[in-house]
Amino acid sequence: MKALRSIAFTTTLLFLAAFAGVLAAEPPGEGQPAPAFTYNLLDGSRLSPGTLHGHPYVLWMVATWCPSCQTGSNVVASHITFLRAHGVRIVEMQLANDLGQPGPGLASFHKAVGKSASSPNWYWGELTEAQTAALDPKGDMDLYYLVDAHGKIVAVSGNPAATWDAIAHFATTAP
Amino acid sequence: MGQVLQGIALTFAGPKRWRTYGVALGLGTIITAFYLVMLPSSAVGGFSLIALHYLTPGLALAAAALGYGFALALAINAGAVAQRNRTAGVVGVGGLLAAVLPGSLCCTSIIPSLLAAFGASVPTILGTTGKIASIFAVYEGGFIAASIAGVALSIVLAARSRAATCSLPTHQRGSQ
Repeated sequence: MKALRSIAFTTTLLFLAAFAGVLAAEPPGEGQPAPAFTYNLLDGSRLSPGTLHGHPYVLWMVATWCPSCQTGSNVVASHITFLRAHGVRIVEMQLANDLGQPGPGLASFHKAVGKSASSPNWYWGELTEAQTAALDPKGDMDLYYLVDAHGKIVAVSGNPAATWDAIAHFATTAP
Repeated sequence: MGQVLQGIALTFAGPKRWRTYGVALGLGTIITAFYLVMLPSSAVGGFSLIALHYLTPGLALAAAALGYGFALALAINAGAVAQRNRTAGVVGVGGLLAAVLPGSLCCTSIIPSLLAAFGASVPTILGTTGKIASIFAVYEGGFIAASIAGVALSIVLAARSRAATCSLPTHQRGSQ
């Protein structure tokens, strides 16, 4: 009985610690400003917050081994002209170290998308570990933020292949 | 092989054969419908009807094999009143569950949430999630193939058991 009690107590403590850890690691939410990071891009250049300021954009985090991320990229590729027409930029960032399991790499991922991937409103890069921890502390793959022209997060969602309608709505209504 | 065919034939023989056909077909259709959405769901990061857009002929065939195969195994086992093969049931259910893993564990928040629930820190979650989730992405085809093999094995085990039971004299069946 005593052993059972101590197991229950330890388990409760562990879950409380986990819960506290999860709460402490909340990513930025709706209504909050998007973190003003400078991102390292695939072509070796850097994307500064100033470049994005004044434009609505989708900040999207992917792992290169993740099939839904690849499918989502293909969906975005098929609508990239529409997004460009509405002034929306896509900032597609590889999560640091592909969340611990290196995939084929961003260059290969980018190539698989085809010509549309080189659209001027589509930025490709890799997050640092600190940026990954700040933007995606829960380790979700295929997560994205919809950020308006004022730099405010309008929505947080995931899997563009499944939620394209929300991105299209954002593109047509974002200030 | 002959014993397996005999077991299947015995299942769909007798006065209640139309009921057996109906149950196998109905159950098979329900399970197949589920897998038609489940198998391509890794492409959209979770169980969603949108996954049907990414259904390939190969995945559709796999869904039908799992659905109707499992229903067949169940029908054979259900008909073997005297000697149900528990192993066949376990292998079949195991096969069905294995096919669910890639779509539900790859590219969803289940693995990082489980890691968090077990008290993993943010750096551990960010450094471990990919190691686990990518297994289901990289070996998705293997999981599906293993699932189909499991269901096929459950049919074989159940049918052989059914045929063996029916070949026993009546007084021995009662003692099984």
